Amino acid sequence: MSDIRLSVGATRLIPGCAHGLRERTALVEVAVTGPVPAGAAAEARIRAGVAQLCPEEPLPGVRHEDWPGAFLLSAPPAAVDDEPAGWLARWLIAVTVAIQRWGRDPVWRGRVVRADSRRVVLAIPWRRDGVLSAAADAAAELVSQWVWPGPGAMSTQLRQWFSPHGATMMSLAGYFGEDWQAIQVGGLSPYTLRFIQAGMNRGTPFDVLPSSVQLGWGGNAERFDMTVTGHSGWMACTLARDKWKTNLTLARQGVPVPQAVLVTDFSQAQRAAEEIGWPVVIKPRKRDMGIGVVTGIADAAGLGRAFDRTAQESAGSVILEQHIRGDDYRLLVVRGRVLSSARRSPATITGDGVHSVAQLVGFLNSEPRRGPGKYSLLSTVQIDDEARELLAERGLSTSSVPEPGQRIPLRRIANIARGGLAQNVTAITHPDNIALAERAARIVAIDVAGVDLIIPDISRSWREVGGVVCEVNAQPGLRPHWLAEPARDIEGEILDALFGDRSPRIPTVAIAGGQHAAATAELLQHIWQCTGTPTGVCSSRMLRIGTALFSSEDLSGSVGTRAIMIDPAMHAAVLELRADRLPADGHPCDRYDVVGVLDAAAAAPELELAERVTDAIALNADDPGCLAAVSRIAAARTVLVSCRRGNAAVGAHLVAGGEAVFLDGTGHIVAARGAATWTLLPWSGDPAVLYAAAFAWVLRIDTAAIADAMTRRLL
Amino acid sequence: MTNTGGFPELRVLGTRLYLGCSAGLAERTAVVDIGWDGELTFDAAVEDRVRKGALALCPEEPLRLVAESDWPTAFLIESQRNLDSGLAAADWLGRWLVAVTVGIQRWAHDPVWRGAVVATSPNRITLAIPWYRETVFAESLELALRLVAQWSRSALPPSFELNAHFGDRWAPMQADGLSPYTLGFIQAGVERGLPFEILPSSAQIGWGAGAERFDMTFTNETSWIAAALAKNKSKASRTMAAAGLPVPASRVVGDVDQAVAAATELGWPVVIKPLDQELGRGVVAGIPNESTLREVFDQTAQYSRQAVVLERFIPGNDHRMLVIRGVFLTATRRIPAGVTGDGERTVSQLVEEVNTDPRRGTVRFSVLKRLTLDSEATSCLADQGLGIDSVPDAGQWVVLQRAANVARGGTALDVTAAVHPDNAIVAERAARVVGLDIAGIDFITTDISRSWREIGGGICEINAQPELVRGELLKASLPGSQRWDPAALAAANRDVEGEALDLFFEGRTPRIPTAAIIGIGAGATARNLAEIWRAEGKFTGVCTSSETRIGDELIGSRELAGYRGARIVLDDPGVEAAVFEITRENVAGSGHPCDRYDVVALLDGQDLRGSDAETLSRAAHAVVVNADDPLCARLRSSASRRVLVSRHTTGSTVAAHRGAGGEAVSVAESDGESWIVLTSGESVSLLTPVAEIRGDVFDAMCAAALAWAQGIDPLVIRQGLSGRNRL
Repeated sequence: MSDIRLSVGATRLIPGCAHGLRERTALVEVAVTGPVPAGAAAEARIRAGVAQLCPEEPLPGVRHEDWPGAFLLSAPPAAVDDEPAGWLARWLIAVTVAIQRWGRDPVWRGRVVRADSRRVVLAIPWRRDGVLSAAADAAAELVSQWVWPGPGAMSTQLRQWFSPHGATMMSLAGYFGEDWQAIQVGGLSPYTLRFIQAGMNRGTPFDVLPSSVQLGWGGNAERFDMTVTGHSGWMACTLARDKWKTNLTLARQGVPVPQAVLVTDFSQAQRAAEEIGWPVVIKPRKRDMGIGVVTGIADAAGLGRAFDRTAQESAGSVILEQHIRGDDYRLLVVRGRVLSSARRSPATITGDGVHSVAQLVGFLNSEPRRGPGKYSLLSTVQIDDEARELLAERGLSTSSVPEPGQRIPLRRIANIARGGLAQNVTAITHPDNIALAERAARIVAIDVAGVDLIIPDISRSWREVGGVVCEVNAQPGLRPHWLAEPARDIEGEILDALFGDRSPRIPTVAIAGGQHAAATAELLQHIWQCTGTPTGVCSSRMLRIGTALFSSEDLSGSVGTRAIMIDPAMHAAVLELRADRLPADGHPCDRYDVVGVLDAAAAAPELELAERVTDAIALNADDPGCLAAVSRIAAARTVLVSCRRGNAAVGAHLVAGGEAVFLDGTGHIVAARGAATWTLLPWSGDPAVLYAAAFAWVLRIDTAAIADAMTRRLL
Repeated sequence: MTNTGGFPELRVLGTRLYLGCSAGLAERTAVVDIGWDGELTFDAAVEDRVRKGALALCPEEPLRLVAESDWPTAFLIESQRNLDSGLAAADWLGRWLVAVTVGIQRWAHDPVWRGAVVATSPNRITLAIPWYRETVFAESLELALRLVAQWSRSALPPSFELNAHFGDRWAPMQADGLSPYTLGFIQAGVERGLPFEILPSSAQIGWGAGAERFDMTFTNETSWIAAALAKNKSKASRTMAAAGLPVPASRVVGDVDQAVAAATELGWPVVIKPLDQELGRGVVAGIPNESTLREVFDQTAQYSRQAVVLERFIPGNDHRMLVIRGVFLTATRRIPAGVTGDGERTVSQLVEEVNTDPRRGTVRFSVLKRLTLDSEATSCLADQGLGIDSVPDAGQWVVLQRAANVARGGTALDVTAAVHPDNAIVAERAARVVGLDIAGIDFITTDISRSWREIGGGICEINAQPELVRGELLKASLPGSQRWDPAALAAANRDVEGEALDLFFEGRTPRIPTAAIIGIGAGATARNLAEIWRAEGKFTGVCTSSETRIGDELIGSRELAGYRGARIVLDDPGVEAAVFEITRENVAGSGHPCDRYDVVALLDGQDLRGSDAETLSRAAHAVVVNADDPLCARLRSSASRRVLVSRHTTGSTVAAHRGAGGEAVSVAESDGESWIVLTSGESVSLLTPVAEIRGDVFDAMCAAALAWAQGIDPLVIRQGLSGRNRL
């Protein structure tokens, strides 16, 4: 008899990064009861199982064959890899992370900490504790069931989920029931998640703020809310949302737009249509996603049929415009440049001489990419009034059987949200049309804009074949581009365009250990600030932003770091980390440019200070425990600091061409690289001054500036 | 009608509306001919009646920065402000007609500023008056003629009000105009000599890439994310808390029971406010206990579609700190609606008395709002042991509203000078972290002159669309014991919009380089100059009679010639330099696309008696003149620099000009090669060999002269003229 073999035990939530993860980390223990079988067959069952979990929402960038590796940090320690339950642990992480991600939490890659045959310990990224624990429980139960199949003891949830025949035909929505929607609604939007993911792929740190997501730190960060960036203005977005004023604005600037009139009732609409000339289009003044848009209205009768419906969608304010013949194109303009161009076509069925219209629509909707939600890649198509009208125009009804090869559009407009399709035309878009879209985006002043062009042939100039800009979207959906160019990483390219050559990060220094860490951090920030770089510091004694003290409490670690990193004026950060709190709090950043380790406690390998350095690590050469750590450090630069004269380790390090800051025979603090030396300051007897000067030197701050800043100490 | 003698009926004989600037004005111009029969008298007594009448037109909305003594000069261009007593009656009348017509349009919220008297004769005057909406202009003009005539005859009571005259049409007329905030920014710009343009959804100050755009108190730098964040009080508060800023602890609650639980947890007293409202709607402060909370909760909840924010009450006064583009600018202490007792009258009588202040209006843009004895007032009175019929003691300050918003009848006191630097830093950082370009931060402290770190205090709210401090507001009467101190009175005259503009345009000009070219060969010269600007690395817009081009992109051809194409260039947010061919026909039809140009080139002398003189008068820095055209060469202009262009090195005109130290562009031989040369007095420098020039050499020389006058390096000019940057 089968039983649940995996059960989630103790879970420890860490607010920062730990156990090698680059994200907020949870340590999850899972008890294994019963023998762990060999991997291959069980893994195949798991792989088949996870494909059923949320088929309508494929996780971006994760193909079927990428499981479970796509959810794991790339280099697990080999020892763990060889443990008998290693493969099982990896799958548990993958399923736990994936469920959270489907629940719309920004969680990416975990790591196996331990995996013996009775107990596995997993480092798993998390965002909401409730979602993590639900996901971990579900993962344990599902993986149990896949690994040890059988009708044994199942939870009520699982029993409902597996059909009597044992087939796994239901999804997470079925497993979690009503909770699932609440989980998804409480998370981020899939667009925002994709941007975070693109950032993670580029090593860009993120922070979820109360109403946006920040990629990067301080003065180098960009903020996003779906596809709206922090550089799209309130006025610009309000203008783009008002299609009438957008039309006026573009027309004024000489951009070709359909001739348009704002009308409030049917008789006005009829008069305007007579004046503009049939056919016409009507659309609500301020609705997105093609709602209420009716195109190709040929006469007053057609206008009469459509007008009230559209008017309802738009509080009575309807735009009536010239119907421009041509196809519908969406050009994505990012910070002034077209990134992708897609032709959108309305949902269409093609007859086969056998099946009825209703059946053909059924086939269309059975494509797994089509779903009813606004986040599925394609939208399902309902046979509604619009579809019936289009059928009627061809003398068809839902029960008619169209001729083989007969193409029947079910929609007049091509929005993806209304069931449309998209095709890549980026390479063939004429340069004039690109220039037109770029100018439209510039005039409305949208940072990431979706410009809708109507033109008969995108490969020829709009000047030659006629073409108009019919809309500029301030919060463009990216589905046309995902559909048109599935191989492209659109979000990633958007980030590349936004960040350009600048790093999303600001320089960071983390200092830990001993009684001087706080004073050292505060002094270093003072020096840095004096060089003209706006710098923040958080320590166990304060939060200071530039020269302004904001708190005299212990704000070392995550809380203080965040206060610095969400301030767009900050261009450098100095963070005190408390060695005693790191195991519980984790790291506020995934990595630091420079790390200072001032005592043996801070040098403990499990604190991962040395592992999170990108540029240099400075160690207290006067502390034997610290010195002992030198051997396992892989950082590019190892700098020894010493408040003593003639420290032997310093001497040896310098002889080997290393860097050090120490006290020389003349009572000065001296920096040295191999045989070269620089005199920094006279020794005052305060180790914090030596340490701060040392870190400043490591950061390549000019030695004169260091000395100058010290004379301007705010003490 | 009494006393009809002495002042004739005034008639509009004709009106020409220009889209652009004409007749010396810096705005969209209407030129109006006005005539009358008989003799005109306009003396000090008449003027006095007209002044009184004009001032009484719209008492609840004093025109910004226009004091009584500023009529009519505030409405006239600089050169017509000297109203010496020797002015002819017709001229004097003309100035008042301009002022009243502009004043009425401005009260109708149109962006119109300064007109002029163009010509006078005994029975006729020609006026240049700015206009924006055609119908508003026509009605204002008709009304001004009638009013001035009737006031002159003292046939109309001085209490004639626009509100009453237009009746139901007045409010929509104002609503269709611009918001007073937008007007405030434009006015501050006009006072600084900055050009403006009204776009379909915003107002623009400056041109092209140098411009800033405004709508109310939003600017183009107000990010959508930031404004949306500021609207959600709870999220904004959490963001500020995450940055380490002092904000009161708060909870979002869905119903009254949750509210009571949260208040118990946070500690009494508490404040409740709707999650997503502004202007103080539904805010109740200082709730001391559960029973009061239960009493007031529903009132707040009804304002909010979502939920209610409950936060810990910070004791102290409410200060509104204004931060613009990162800089703390003003602080006002906000005083809630209230009355001061006199020991005789009841609360409701005192309220009635306060409401007789004409500035206390009921419309959205009134400087002060009327006091109302609503349920909030009743509840406040009850807290003080009073009712609406109670008689407060003499000098007793009776509070009528808990929230201190102006929108709810409050007043304000300028405390900018007293603000402790730490508190200013908090305000600046709050605006930065939330991401607002213009932010109103509500800061509560018992003493704004002491640091929040010392005595506590905190930010209770951040607003994306703050009410700007209005001098008029600060002059409002203050309650009993609080007398004006001199610093506050001085601050009351601050021009916040102007200070904001100074910050926006700090260290740069909102204008982009502009050149206007008239006459034969103007189109080719314009294209050459545009090439030079492109070689300079500027994203350049050029409008000629045959095409309008921005960067590489052809925007349109003949149909855009003149005003329209030039405006497309000036209103494109990317354009960094503008070059216009100006035709006399365009100037006559539409006026000028902008108030002035850096440089103006006159390439022929065919129309010196026509509009060319006015066009040349719009050159801010220099004029370029074709010295080979004798008519042109004789021209005199007021511009400080005059650059001559001549094919003949030795021509007498050029020689004389150079002899006087003047500048010229001409042709000279060097090493057997013909060169275009730049000469300044005695010094001559080679610019480019004539052989390198594609197309007409004289057009290239004119372009070189313009570019030189605009300060472009000769090497860049040569590169632009060679056409190399086109490759």
